[in-house]
Amino acid sequence: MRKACAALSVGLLAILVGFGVAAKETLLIYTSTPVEIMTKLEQMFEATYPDIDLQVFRSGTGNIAAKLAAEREAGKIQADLIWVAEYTYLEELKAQNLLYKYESPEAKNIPALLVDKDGYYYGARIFALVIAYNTNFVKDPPRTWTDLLDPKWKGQIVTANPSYSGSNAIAAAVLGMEYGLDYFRGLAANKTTVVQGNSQSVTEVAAGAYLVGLTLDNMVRGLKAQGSPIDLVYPDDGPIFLPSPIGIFATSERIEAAKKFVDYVLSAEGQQALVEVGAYIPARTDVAGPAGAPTLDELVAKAMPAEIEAIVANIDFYTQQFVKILLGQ
Amino acid sequence: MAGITLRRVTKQFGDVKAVDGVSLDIADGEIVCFLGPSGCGKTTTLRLIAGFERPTAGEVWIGNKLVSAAKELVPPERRNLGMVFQNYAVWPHMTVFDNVAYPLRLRKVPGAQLRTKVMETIALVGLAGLEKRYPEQLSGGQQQRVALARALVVEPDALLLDEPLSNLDAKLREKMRFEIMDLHRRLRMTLVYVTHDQAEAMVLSDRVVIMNQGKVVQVGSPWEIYREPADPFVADFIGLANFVPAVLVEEAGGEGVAEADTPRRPRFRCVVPSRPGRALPANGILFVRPEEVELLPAGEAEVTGTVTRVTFLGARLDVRVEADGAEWRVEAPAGARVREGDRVGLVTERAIFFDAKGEIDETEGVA
Amino acid sequence: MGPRLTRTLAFGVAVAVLMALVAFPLGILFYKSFVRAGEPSLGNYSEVFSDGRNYLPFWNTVKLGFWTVLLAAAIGVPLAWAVARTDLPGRWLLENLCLLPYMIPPFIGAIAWVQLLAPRVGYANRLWMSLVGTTTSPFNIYSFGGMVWVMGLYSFPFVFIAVRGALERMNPSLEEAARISGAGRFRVVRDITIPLVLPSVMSGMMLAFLYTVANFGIPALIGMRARIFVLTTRIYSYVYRGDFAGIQLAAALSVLLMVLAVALLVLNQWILRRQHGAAIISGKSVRPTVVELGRWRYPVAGVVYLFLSLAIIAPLVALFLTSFLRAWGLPLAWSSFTIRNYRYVLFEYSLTKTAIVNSLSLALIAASAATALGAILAYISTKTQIRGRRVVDMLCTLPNAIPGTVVALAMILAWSGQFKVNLYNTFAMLIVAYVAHYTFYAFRNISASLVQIHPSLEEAARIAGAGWLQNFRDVVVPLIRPGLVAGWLLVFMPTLRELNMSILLYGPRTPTIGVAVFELQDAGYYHIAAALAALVVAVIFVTNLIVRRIVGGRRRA
Ligand SMILES: Nc1ncnc2c1ncn2[C@@H]1O[C@H](COP(=O)(O)OP(=O)(O)OP(=O)(O)O)[C@@H](O)[C@H]1O
Ligand SMILES: [Mg+2]
Repeated sequence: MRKACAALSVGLLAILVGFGVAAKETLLIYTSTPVEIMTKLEQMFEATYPDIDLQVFRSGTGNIAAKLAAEREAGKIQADLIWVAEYTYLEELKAQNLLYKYESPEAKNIPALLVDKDGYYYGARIFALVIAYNTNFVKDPPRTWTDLLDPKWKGQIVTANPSYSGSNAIAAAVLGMEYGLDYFRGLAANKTTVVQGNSQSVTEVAAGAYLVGLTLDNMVRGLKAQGSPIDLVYPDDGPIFLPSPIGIFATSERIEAAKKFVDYVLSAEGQQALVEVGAYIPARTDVAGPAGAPTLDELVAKAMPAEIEAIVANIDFYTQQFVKILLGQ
Repeated sequence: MAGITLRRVTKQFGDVKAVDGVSLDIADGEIVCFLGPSGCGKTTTLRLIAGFERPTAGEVWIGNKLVSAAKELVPPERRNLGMVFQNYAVWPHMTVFDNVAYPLRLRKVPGAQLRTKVMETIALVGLAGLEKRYPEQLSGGQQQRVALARALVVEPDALLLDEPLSNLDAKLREKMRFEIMDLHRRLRMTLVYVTHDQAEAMVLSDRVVIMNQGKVVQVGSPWEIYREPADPFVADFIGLANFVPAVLVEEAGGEGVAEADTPRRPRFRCVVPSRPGRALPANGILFVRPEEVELLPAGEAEVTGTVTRVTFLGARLDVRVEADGAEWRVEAPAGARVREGDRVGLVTERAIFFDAKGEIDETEGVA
Repeated sequence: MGPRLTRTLAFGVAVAVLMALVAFPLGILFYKSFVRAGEPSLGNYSEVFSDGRNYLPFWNTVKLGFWTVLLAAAIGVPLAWAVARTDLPGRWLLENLCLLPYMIPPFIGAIAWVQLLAPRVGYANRLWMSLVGTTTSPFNIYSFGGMVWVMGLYSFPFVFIAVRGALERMNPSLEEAARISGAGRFRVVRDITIPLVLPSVMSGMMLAFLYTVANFGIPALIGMRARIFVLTTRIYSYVYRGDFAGIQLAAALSVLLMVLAVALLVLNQWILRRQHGAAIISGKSVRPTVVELGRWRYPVAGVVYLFLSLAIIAPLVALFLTSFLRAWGLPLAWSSFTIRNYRYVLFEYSLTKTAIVNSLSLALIAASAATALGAILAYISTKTQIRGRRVVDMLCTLPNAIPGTVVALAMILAWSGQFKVNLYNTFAMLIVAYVAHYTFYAFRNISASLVQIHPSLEEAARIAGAGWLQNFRDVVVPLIRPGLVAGWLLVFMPTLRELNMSILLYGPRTPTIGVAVFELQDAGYYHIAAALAALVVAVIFVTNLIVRRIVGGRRRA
């Protein structure tokens, strides 16, 4: 028996040592970037900066916001960086003096519309909320957001929850301001299923559990490239433009390392990486975009117009209304 | 009321023949005890009679009805038997009254009649006043009587009892033994009784059935079994025994003289009657009960030995004598003046001379 | 140091730890649920009972528990009977199949069932659709029924174990006595067998109820999607709301959950006490009467094995299948399969790598700490006459009986900075919660070993001049080693894949395996979650085999 115990402990120790993490500077980022994309980005970043260990806490913006609130209540923000889709949330953090003002040397290489006017954050990951459909079952996909209200899609639509996903919170605000609450009621009448996040909604459409979805263009491209039967439509009435911003926490004890990560994602190398691993639209003109994707300029031109001040003012209202109307909560 | 007949009944569990070709006639109203060492097949025989086991071969008849055969099995509930299990098996979730009433309820006896009958039976086993109790509130002996009342209440054709007293203390056991006999005297049903305990078998039975390794080795009255054991196994199993290897030295007219097979002379010798239907063997084992050996002053007998131990047993003395390398057990009257170290002579009037091939189970020893 | 001093010190430290881990946090939880804005108030409770978002989860919890135990009994009782009392072929296999769901954490069960019954994509639905040729699928796991089904399949072993035990211990002559009294086969079942095993059935159902009520994984992964909240998931959503009012409501809901759990336990004790069945547990090992199924033997075996393959094996197979898919929902063709998911969770994804290291270290530390603490407390409880040792008993037992969610919330309230100590988001927080919740297993096993040590053994050592500590080390510990080992393992195994508490307590730097699996599934990375879950299942199998060797075939408590 003693032998067996000893063997067990030795085995466990071996596993622990095998996984052993060498002492490096650890940088913690809170992000809503999908895990597989973030892992690859992390590997590429760590290959460039071998003495930094990037740790990723991935969740929806809603959860991240809650976590940060709880951490502030407990007295210490753990994270060094934040990178979510909901740019209004960074506005909020900025207003509370929680962000570190950083002028990146890469700032001059990206379009002005991606740079915070006060210099606290940069739009670094470009994507859009679009209509995705399963190509096995759908030959004639919806062309506009309002097409989704057609009863033929009843029970076949899936989307993410804006109280979890920042992208969908922005989308709720933009669509709500454009079409009013009736649009939400129409989605509800069509028995739209609300899942947690976009990786879930896009997976469900690719798998055929639902036929169409309001989800993110880069994820659709990624799955399509892997051979999943999925494709997307940039709606005629305008996709929702989402330049996911990255910022550094003022409370960070590793500001220098954090700056390196911001510089990295804005650099040509970083943007190239984002194109490769995440099928994002590059923020820089000197990086080629994924096949078949619009350029940043084309996307912005097509996107549904949205004033950041208006969104900041309305996002909570429309998020709550969406949840209330579609989830009855 | 009915007798029970077993015809060449065999029951096999895998490789084990638990019961091996047993034939037996039990008369109506008779008390028969099954006696034998642990694992010899007593319980299995009882269960075959009750119908819990299907015989591998052979037949069981109750009255004049065939109830068990390899192809035919009347289920236990249709045999009108009563059974008391070794461990009482009183239902813990029913009161004494309900336990006893259950067989009557199954027979749809109307309420008032059921009540009288149950109370009567409870009184019969001496439990009046306890009928509202649950088994956990009863002593072992009381539970045993509940089991008995439950078996009796329907006046079964036969009552099967499987070591019903084995869990009781000696005093209570003796008392219950007489109560069972008393009941039998009053109700006169056939009674098949399994026990380990020879005293119990002797006291209770009209006939005793000795079993060994699934076979019946002897059937007879307690007196016969004790006085005329069929083989060394029975002799050894019942009561105390001295066994001495011996040779036949004389034979004449249904009687012979056997002499102990010891190197020293004179040898211990005695007269042995030949047993019905059997010739006296040339080589064999001399069997003598301790109470049949007489102690004489040294020199008055041909064989002398030394007293090694004297144990006082109340009415008698248990004396051990070492003679010619063998140890003898002798029962002497309490007044006999023997002490350890005394030289004594040994004689006996009566002995049985068994064929040497009959084996003695060493583990049972002199009980 | 004098012997008295070391003894007092050891006892003092153990009791102080117990107070800090159990009494204080639960007290704070209770207190906080009655406070609003620093004032004593029933406001939290009136909000709980006036708002549908709060009282519906309570009602759903009860409803889920009710239907789950009915299902658990409907599955567990016949199977227990088949294993204990029939000549069904392969009963050893049958028994092990029935105990399988006991080893697998329910959240992994939920993930496995999603693979089978997800609308349209689940393998069972796909099979149906291709057989019938429709595009609408018959099963939807994301429903109340789906929750009941999965929960029932993962809690029926409680009923199975209790009933099988009762049937095996029941003296067969109790039933035979009824036969000979004139009752037919079925009448005996009605009049004797059922009444005698009923308390065990009830007790098994009660434990299954408790397990269901305390479970987070299944209602979170299946119910939340269908917008059906129970208490554990509602508490979770309040905690993750991130504001203080949310925590207060969660505290009130936790107290309700705790009351529900304790009420169930008391009810269970009451049922067991009322049982007139002391006599059915005979000391001797009995040979149960085996019902010969005769010509029904193979048909019945067919039904039983088919059911078990569908209910227990199929979801695991589905889980393994999905774990090899390049993307969820791909057709099952060679081109769809890959081992990339395994490489990903083991070598690429830092969260799962960290989680594996964390869970192993947490389980090692928590098991060792719980065993040490449990040993001293068990010694106090069984070998001394110290006043208040009943309280020690209760404080060891209580946190195991109440749901992990409640324990976790109590830890958050007590140890995240309000009282000078801030363990929020740390490793220590998880250890503290695990030790509080699981010390009971070590305590119970060690107590059982300790009561068998005759006082004279210890007295002999003391007379020979050994001090208390020396005596404890040289005499007591070696004698109770089997209890220590068993206790250690019984803490180690559940902590390795704990979810109910970890999900509320983990920090960004301290994810655990359970959390990693849950988060991956919850965020829609179904194929990756499946790979990690499949690894967990494999590890559980292997550790169980090792444990069986070590503990020597002894049944898991
Ligand atoms: N159901 C069974 N399966 C296999 N073997 C059995 C079974 N029942 C009895 N046996 C075997 O048959 C033999 C006789 O058993 P039985 O119970 O009849 O003995 P017994 O004479 O009543 O013994 P005891 O005095 O110890 O009660 C034993 O060797 C026993 O192991
Ligand atoms: Mg027997």
